[in-house]
Amino acid sequence: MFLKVWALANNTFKEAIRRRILYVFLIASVAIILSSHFFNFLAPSEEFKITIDMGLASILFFGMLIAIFSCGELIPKEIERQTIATILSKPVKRSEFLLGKFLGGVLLVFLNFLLMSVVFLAVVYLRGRLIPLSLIKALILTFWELVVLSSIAICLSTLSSTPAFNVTVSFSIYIMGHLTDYLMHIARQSENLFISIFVTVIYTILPNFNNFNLRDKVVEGFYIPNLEVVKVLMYGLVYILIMLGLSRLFFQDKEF
Amino acid sequence: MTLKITSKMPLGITIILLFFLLFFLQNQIFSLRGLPPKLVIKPGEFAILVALGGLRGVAADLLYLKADEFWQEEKWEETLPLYRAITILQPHYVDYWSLAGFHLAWDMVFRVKKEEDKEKYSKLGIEYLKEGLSYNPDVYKLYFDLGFTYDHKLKNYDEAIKWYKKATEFSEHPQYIDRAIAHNLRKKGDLRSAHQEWLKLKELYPNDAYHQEIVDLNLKIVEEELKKSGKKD
Repeated sequence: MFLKVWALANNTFKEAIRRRILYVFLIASVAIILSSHFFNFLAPSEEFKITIDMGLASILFFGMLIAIFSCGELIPKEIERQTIATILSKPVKRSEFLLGKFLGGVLLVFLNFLLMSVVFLAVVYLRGRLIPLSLIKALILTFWELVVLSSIAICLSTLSSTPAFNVTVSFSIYIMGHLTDYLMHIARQSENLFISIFVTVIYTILPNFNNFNLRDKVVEGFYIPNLEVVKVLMYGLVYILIMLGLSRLFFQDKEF
Repeated sequence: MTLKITSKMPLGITIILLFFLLFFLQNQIFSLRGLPPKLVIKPGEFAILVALGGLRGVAADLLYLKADEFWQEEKWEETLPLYRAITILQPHYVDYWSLAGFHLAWDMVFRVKKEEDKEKYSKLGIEYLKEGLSYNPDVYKLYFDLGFTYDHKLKNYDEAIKWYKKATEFSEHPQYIDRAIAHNLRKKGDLRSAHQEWLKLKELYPNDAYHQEIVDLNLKIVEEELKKSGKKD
C-alpha cells in the first residue's frame, strides 16, 4: 500500500511543481521577506519585529495560496483529463489515491515552505545575529497550518470538480478559521442554550487557525512551552484525519 | 443502498469521535494559553480583524511605518488615530502602547500652548498607558512608563512611586527603576524615607560598581540635605 501511495504522491508532486503560478507565489514571498531587510531607519527592536512579522506573514500567506491552488486542483484536474478513471481501473484503492494526492500536495507545500523559511531565517540572522527558538516553533506550526489547509482543499475537491469553487471556499475557510476564537466568546456569553450549543458545534467543526498562530507571541517575546506546540500539532493531526476521512466518504461513491 | 450506508458507518462514526477529540484538544489548548481576549471591540474594528485574518502583525507594522513617517514630519496629531488602530491590531505588543503614551503625554503636551490642553494630553497619555496595562499586566515596561510620566510630566511623586514600585515587582526590571523610587521620595520632600531607601539600595547589586557609585553619591546628597534641615541624628 505504501509503495502505491508513494508512487502517486511522487507523480502528483512532479506534476504540480511544473505549474508556473507557484513560482510566482514563491518569488513574491521571497521578495517580501528580503524587503524587510531595508527597514533600517527604525529603532532596532522595531526593525527586528517588522522582519519577523513580514517574514512569518508572507510565508503563511503565500504558503496558503500555494496550498489552496495546488491541492484544490489536484483531483478536479484528474477528473477533467479523465486520467482518474485509468488510475482507478488499476489495483489502486480510492483511499490510496486520495492519500497519494494529499501527500503529493503536502510535499509541494513543504518544498516551498522550506525555501521561504531558509531565506527568512537567513534575513533574521543577519538582522539580529540570532534565531530565537520560539521562531522555529512558530515556523513548525505555520507549516502544520498549511498542511491542515491542504487537507481541507483536498476534501473540498472531492465534493466539487470546479477548481474555482474549491479555491474560493478554501480561502473562505482560511479566513473563518482565524475567527473561531470569537465564536467561542459568543457561545460562552450567550444566555440562549440553543445558540450556545449551535455556536459551539460550529466552532468545533471549523478549524481554529489561531491555535497555530505563534507569530504575535514571537514578536511579543513570550516563552512558548513545548507542551503547547505538541497539543497544537495533535489538534492539527486530528483535523487532517477528519478531512481525509470526510474526503474518503465523499469520494467513495463518486462515478467517473 | 443499505449495504452502502453500512459500509460508510464505521468511518462516519470515527469522524464523529475525532470531532469529540478535537473539541477536547481545543479545550486543552485554551487551558494552556488562557481564553482569547474578550470581545470588547466595536463592530467596525471587528470587521478589520475579520478582513485581516492572521495577518494583523503586518497590518500593524504598515500603520506603524506611516505613524513613524508622520512623527518624523512632526505631524504628531496625525499619528494618534494610527496608534489607536495599531494597538487594536496588536494589543499585546507593549512598545506600541508605550510609544502612543509617550506621544500623547510628551510630544503633544510640548506641542500645545494652552495649559488646559497640556493637562488634557497628559491625562490622555496616562489613560492610554493604563489601557495598555489592562492587556499587558505581566510586563514591567508600562508600569515604569506610568511612573515616569507621573514623575517627570505631572510631578505627582506619590503616584510615580506607586507605579515604579509595581514595576520593580518584576524580576527583569532594570536597576534604574529601583533608584527612581528613592529619587522620587527625595523629590516629594520625604528625606528620611529617601535616606532609608538609598541605604536599602546600597545592599542591592553589591557587585555593580556603577550602581554603588550612584547610591554613594545620592546618599551623600540626602545626608547633607538632612543635616541642613536638622533632621539627621
